[in-house]
Amino acid sequence: MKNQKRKVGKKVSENGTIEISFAGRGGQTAVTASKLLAQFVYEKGFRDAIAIPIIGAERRGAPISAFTKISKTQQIKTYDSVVNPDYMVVFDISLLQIPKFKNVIKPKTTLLVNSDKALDRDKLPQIEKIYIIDATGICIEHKFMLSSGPILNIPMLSAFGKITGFYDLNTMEKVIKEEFGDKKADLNIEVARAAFNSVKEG
Amino acid sequence: MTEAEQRDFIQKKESKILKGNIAAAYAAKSARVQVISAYPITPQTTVVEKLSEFVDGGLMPGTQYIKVESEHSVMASIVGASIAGTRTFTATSGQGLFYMNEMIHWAAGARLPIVTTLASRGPAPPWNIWADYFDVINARDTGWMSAFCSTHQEIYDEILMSYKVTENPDVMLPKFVAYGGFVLSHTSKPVMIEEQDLVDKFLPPLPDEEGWEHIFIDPERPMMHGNLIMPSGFYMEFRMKIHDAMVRAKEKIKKVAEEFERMFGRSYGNGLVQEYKLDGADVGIVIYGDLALQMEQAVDELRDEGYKVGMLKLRYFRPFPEEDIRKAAKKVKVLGVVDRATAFGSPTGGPVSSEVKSTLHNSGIETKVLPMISGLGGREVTLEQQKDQLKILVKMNETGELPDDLLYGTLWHGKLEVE
Amino acid sequence: MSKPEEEKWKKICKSKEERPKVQEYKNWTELPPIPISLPLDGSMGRTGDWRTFRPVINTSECNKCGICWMYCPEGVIQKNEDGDYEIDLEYCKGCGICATECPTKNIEMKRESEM
Repeated sequence: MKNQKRKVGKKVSENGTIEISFAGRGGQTAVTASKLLAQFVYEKGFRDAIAIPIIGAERRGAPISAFTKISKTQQIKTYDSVVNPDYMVVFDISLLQIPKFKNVIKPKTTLLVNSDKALDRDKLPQIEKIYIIDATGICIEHKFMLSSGPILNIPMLSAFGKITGFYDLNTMEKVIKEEFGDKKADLNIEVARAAFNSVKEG
Repeated sequence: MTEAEQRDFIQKKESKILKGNIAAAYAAKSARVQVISAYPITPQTTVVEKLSEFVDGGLMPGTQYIKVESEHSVMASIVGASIAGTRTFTATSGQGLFYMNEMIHWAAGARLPIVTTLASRGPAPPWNIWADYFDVINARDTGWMSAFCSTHQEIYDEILMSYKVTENPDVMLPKFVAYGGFVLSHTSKPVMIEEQDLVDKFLPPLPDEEGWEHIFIDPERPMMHGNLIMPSGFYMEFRMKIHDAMVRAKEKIKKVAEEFERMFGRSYGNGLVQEYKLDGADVGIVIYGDLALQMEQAVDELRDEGYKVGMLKLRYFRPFPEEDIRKAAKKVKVLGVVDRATAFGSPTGGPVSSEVKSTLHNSGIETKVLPMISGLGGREVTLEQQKDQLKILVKMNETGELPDDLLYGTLWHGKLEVE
Repeated sequence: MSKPEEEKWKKICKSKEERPKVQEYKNWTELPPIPISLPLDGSMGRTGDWRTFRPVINTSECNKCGICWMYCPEGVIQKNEDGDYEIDLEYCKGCGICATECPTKNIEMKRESEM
């Protein structure tokens, strides 16, 4: 297998930058999630944020990567991808079996996984914190769907806000209203609230 | 938006998380461009999509949006619109720019202040849509000015500054504003959108009905442009005038950057280049586009480790700031030049390193220059790789020897290796 | 045209009378930014001198269709007050296109030496 040699250098988060890696499948709205996260934290007063989608010849169902780097205090100057994430948001549990996602999980990484049952820790790298949220279940329950499937970004990000405390539901509501308009916002907020209250350690 | 809301809509100063492409669209809106002609091409597409939303949503009253069938027609219609005396805008990428090529020459030859943004991408074949500045470099000798952006904010700011430079009566040349495809066009960062009143104050007034001074469409004052000049005519002299205007534009660019900083508080060096920690450095690196921002971080981290390194961000490729390059080269013993573009068969590395080398030739400056090529076709350039590039220069300074592994004198950095 | 417009027109293009001849530009710095041509009678000189054959319209037989007026590459054929077509011999270079195109064959090309 061909691979670009990639040294893992000084962890950027040592300079106050927090790095989040998103793993999703084409159509699960992971790319939008990476941008929304930047918007949420920026609205909440973070100094800088960058959303980096890895865009290729992506198709529905194909594994997708996206990254967000956020900082409360300083300008973010890097455009490279995240190899040492502080947080990893996984939109589909099956993605954890794919090496390119599995391999970036570090002992310090906090994992947030969309799953309706507890994870089998033995199949995962040794990590301290895992949270699970049944985002798909919440979307189905609230009919928060596109023709292709559930819109996972809002519940996932809501759960992320809950576990990190970087932003709250009010911030989300404000940004969502600006981004999608007042009419569409209500259902978004409803789903966000449901997810906010149901994320749990797994 | 209701009609009344549209009428009353005035851009307020606001900071938003925007994709690079959307920042470009906002800049065109802030500049009150009057004619947009566009054909979509990845990764530029969302620029013109967003502008069509603005126009359709009534947020750009008085702006004409022309849909055409190809890039060649884009530039043809923009040339026509500009001759008629309007502020014009378009955007394209890679192959689209190549297809536009003939009309690009017409724009420069008619001395039209057209601003075109490029979400730069690698040339095909094989098909590539990711960051590579070959497209703007390919338009080097067309008479267009060209600038590189390294941040999302710079895309917005540079487009505003561009109209002020291009519409200067002493310049009157079209301009490309280039930024890396995907790495800037599709990533999102905070961008300050400036208040409309302030932008209006900064920019020259929109051309009136009489149009530009040197070319216009008016049945009362008929003129013809673009006819034949015999070899004994002034063809050569008109070429000299384009070159003259281009070189003299450097002073205007510096002045506009100064005015921009005074008005909006954001500094872009002297407009042509931006020095970063070059004072007291043993080795320096000349770099442009998105790679320049990340290189700042690499310089910071190596400085923390005790290495005396610095960098020069190149903002303009045409006109080329040779005085600034000489000034920077004098400060260091070894100068690396990183190109995210190719110049096949060139004896002096990539396109920018060629310019740097020829600038230093016969200048009495002994600084060693190492051409580097990196990140072609969107190949990821990591922070670690950029620190590595600086360390190679440091080693070159210590040992006095060129690194191994050069391909005809150029370091192609970040090659794939099979594990 | 209003006054300021006239001034501008003069500045850029000059009026017909004061339009600079090519020879008046002493060097490249004096040139305008781009080459332009302005409408002017006989900008290539008195092209009537080029003529070796002269078109003559048989006015009495002419049906005034205007084909010659339309085809003349130099625009030297005009309709006069009587409705007849006339040729401006000052600038007609004698190309003969009018004679070729005339559907009723009422334009004859005659040798200049015979006129």
